[in-house]
Amino acid sequence: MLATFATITFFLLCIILVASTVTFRTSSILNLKPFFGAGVPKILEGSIHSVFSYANMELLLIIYPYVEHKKDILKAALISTLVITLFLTWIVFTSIYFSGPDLVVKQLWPFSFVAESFKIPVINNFRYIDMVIWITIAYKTVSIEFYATTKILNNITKIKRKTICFILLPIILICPLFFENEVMRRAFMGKIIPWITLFNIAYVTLIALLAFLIDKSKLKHIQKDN
Amino acid sequence: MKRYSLLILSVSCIILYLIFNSSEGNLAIEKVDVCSGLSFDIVTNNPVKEYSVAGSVYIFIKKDEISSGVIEGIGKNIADTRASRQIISAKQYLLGLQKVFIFSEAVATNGIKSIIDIMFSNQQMNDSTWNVVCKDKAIDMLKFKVIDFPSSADHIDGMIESSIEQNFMSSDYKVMDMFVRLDSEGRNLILPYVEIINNRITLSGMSVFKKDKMVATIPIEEAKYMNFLINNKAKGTLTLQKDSSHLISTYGNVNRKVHCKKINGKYKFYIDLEFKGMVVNNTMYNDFMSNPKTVEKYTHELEEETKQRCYEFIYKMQNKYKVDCLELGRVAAATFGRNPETDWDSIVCNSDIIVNVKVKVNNLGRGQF
Repeated sequence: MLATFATITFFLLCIILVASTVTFRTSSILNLKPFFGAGVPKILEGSIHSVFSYANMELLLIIYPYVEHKKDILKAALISTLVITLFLTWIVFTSIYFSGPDLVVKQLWPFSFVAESFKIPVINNFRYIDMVIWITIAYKTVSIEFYATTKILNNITKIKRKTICFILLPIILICPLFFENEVMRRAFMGKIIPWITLFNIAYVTLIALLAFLIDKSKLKHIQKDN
Repeated sequence: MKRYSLLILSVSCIILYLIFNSSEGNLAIEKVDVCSGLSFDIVTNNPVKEYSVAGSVYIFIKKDEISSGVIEGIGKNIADTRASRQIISAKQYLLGLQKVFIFSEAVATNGIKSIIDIMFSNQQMNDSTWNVVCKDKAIDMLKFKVIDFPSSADHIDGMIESSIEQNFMSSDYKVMDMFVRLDSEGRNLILPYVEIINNRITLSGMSVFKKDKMVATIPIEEAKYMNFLINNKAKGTLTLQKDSSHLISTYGNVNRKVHCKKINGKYKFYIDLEFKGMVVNNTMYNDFMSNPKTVEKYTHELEEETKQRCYEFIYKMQNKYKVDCLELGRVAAATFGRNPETDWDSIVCNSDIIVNVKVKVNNLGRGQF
């Protein structure tokens, strides 16, 4: 059921991205030039901030036992990374192309500004549709992470999954209410998220390396026994 | 029970929502003041600046008859004027459907940054509202009675929207364009300038801003050449006139490309313009329709004359107005690197600007009388 939900939100996101191409008519490429003008060190520094979008890829390891076609899983992982890269680049590109480099830093949500410029006769402001779709996408992300959390906790502590669900639900509903405004949320997230993503990347790379090394030696051991 | 649980859950959610939320925010149209235009004035300057913000609202008294009235509010800042407007109004005020913002000259010369900030942070404001600067008091412009529209704000809205047909005007004078241009590197804000001449609202020029303060007003005859140099894909008329009875007019589109080069630390800008049009009026050359060499001769003469007029305007821009009206700083920043500290106005005023005009006549009409 989560899979169908994720597919639907993917198509909705595609619709927004296609709708934002309308803005290409009114602005010019001069807003983006010079390319690579800031220098490669600054580009690498900026890429650290965007790592957050690639998070949750390691959840692939949790669903691995349930996948039927195990050979295609590598291809699926690579395609999904490519899709995320494409979408992220497209959104940033359109925001800067439309608003110009000086205005983008003044806005809290640059892509919503782009969505506003799409004028259809019936709808007063395309931003409302944009908002509904974003909320659905956020809900999808939260539900996937919730599923992963309950599975992991179930594995560690041997409590039944249903009980974990009911215990975690009030915590998850009430915690976000402590952020009173956007400024507090950004300050809080800015401190925590780099550490979490760094931990995730290090952890997953470590496990991958260990699995790679141990597999070979185990195979040799079994062959020797037989 | 399991089958009905989803239904019960959703119905109870809807009922809860209806109980707690139903009475807010939905009003009948008779209780709402729909505002069609706002005007910004400065009333006094000491000890503290006081703004007078007036809104033109629609009045529906008789059936099929819409008229408008003006509600004025005075306050030390824009948000206080809303409070002051509410105490003389019998209805709730609705933002978000404005067509026009009119700034008076005093407000524009003092700086419009605080007004822009309140527009930017409020999501309900309409981003495709036209901005104009007017002479004298802006509230007189709103109170002016027009015959063909319910309020003068509608009239100005139609005027600016249809002004792209002539004078090489563009439609980039909306609030959204103002946000993008105001603090952008190498770009300056240019807005239409209206005043009341001969009992009619007239677009009498263009006003040029430096950062957020207005520095110059350019009359429409000169502004035509400024628009010719700035706007891509604009329509207008170019006339070659030797005296009262010998003239040729051409109406067409202009396409613009700009390059920038840096030689010995001094910038050189090349503006390439291509003007394609239809000959509208011809009383100068009698063999225009039969001899291709006359057409060539005419295009050369028009090119020379247009170049000369453009250089006249550029000379005035670099020496009298001293502002970069032509968005050349933007091209230079895109080619050579961006730095918010550079003062593109002084760099462009000291650089060489070379204009190349190409004229093509692609339509000769029905014939020559």
